[in-house]
Amino acid sequence: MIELLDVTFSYGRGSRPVFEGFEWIVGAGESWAVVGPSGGGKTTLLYLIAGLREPAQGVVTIGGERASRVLRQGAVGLVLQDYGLLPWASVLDNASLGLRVRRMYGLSAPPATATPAEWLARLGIDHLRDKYPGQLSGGERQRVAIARALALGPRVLLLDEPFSALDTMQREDLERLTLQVGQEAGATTVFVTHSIEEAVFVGRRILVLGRPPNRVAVVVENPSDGSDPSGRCAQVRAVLAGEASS
Amino acid sequence: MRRGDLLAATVVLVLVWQAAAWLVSASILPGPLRVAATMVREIPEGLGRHFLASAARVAASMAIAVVLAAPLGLALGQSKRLHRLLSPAIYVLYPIPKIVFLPLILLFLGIGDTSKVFIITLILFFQVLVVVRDEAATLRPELLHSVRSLGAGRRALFRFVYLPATLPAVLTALRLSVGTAVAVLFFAESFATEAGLGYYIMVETWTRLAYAEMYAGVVAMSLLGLGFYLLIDQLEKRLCPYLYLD
Repeated sequence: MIELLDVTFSYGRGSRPVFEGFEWIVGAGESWAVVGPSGGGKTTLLYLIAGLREPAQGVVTIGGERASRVLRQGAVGLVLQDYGLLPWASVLDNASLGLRVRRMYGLSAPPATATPAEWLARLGIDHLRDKYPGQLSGGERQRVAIARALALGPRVLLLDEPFSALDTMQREDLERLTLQVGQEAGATTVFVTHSIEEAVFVGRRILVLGRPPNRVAVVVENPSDGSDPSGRCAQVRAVLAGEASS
Repeated sequence: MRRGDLLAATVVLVLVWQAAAWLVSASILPGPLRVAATMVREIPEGLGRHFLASAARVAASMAIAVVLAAPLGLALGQSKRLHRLLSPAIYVLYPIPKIVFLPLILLFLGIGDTSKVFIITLILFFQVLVVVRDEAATLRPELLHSVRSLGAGRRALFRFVYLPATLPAVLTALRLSVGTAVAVLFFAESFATEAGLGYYIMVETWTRLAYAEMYAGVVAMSLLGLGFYLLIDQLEKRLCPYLYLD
C-alpha cells in the first residue's frame, strides 16, 4: 500500500540526512504507530508519504502511484497536532473543505463512506456544525480535523501527534474513536506519537525511528490480542533506547 | 463599536462645539445648529454634488489600491524569491511621503479626477501591500500543509486560505488609511479643480468668508471619513464573522 524504496531526504544541501536509503512497506488496511526522538524524522516521514516533501533519492508510492500524484487527488488524509483548521470557516465548511477543493477543480466527489455532515455526527460533534474553530475545545477541533480527512474517503490516514495537547481522558476516547472510524473508512493508518503508551494502543505494528540518518526500518509487532501492554511498552522503550544510542 | 457609544461621543462633541461657539461668540465659529441648517440648505445648492465627487474619488482609489496591492502582497508573502527581489524597493518607497509628488502628478496627469485618484491610490497601495505581504508570510505552514493534503493547488490555496486569511488585514489597512486618504483628498481638491469638498471648503466658502458654509463643508468632509470608516467596519462584520465571536 505505502512503499518507501531507497528513500534519502535531508533539509537543504549539506545538512545531515533524516533518511538515507530508507525502506519501509505498509500493507493495505494496516494500523501503524511511529515513535522516535524529537528531530528523528517522524513528521518528515508523514510529509513524505503525504507527498508534501519529495525525497532527494528513491520513491514514495501509495498503491503503486507516486505520493506527489496521490496528493493532488486528496486521497491521503492528514491530521496535524494543531493549526490545521481554517479559523474563518465554520465546522461544517471545514469538514467539507476537501470536497469544495475538488469541486473547484471540476472533480466529482470521491467514493467516501459518508458525507462530511455524517462524519461530524459519527464523531459526536454534529451540534457544533455552525461554530468556528475558535469556539471549540482542543478535542473538538481534532474531531473536526479527522472528519475533514475522512470525508474524502482517503486510502491513507496520517496523524501527526493529533492528541498530544489533550488531557488523558480525552486522548484515550479519541484514540479509540480514531481507530474505529479509520477502520470504518477502510483507511490504512499511520499514527505519529511521542508517547510509547499511545503507540502501543493505536499501532498494531510500531515503527521505531532513531537518531538521523534512519537507514533501516525497526519494527515492533504489537498484535491486537491486548495481552501485556506494559510489557510491550517496555519492549518499545528498550528498542527506542537502543536506536537513540546507535 | 456600539451604536449607543458612538451616539454619545457625537453628542458630547456637538456640546463642546456649542459651548466653544458661545464662549468665542464670533462669526468665525458658528454653532452646530446654524451649521446644520446651512448644510440642509447647501446640499441641493452644491454641497451634495461636491460630497459625491469626493466620495467617488476615495471609493475608486480604495478599490484600485486593493485590486493592485492585494495580489502583489500575496505574491510577495508566498514567494521568497520575489520578496528578496522587490522588498528593498518597497522598503525605500514605503516611508516617502507620497503627497510631495502631487505637483508632479498634476503635471503628468492633469487637474481632473485621474490625478486625485492616483495620489490617494498611491498612498493606499503601499499600506495594503505591506500588510497583505506580512500577513501572507506569517501563515502557519501547518495550515498550508493540511489544506494541500486535501488536494489544494495554488488556485485553491488562494481561494480558501490566502484570500480569507488576508481579508481582515486589508480591511484594517483601509480603515487606518481612511483618515490619510481624506486629508490628502482635501489638499488635492483645494486647488486646480471645480468639484469636491476640498474645493468647496477652500475656494467656494473660505475665500468668500462664508463661515457657516465653510463649517458645513468641514462637517461633510468629517462625515465622509467617518462614513468610510463605518462602512469598512460593517464589511468586516459581514465578511469576517469569526472575528466577532463571544
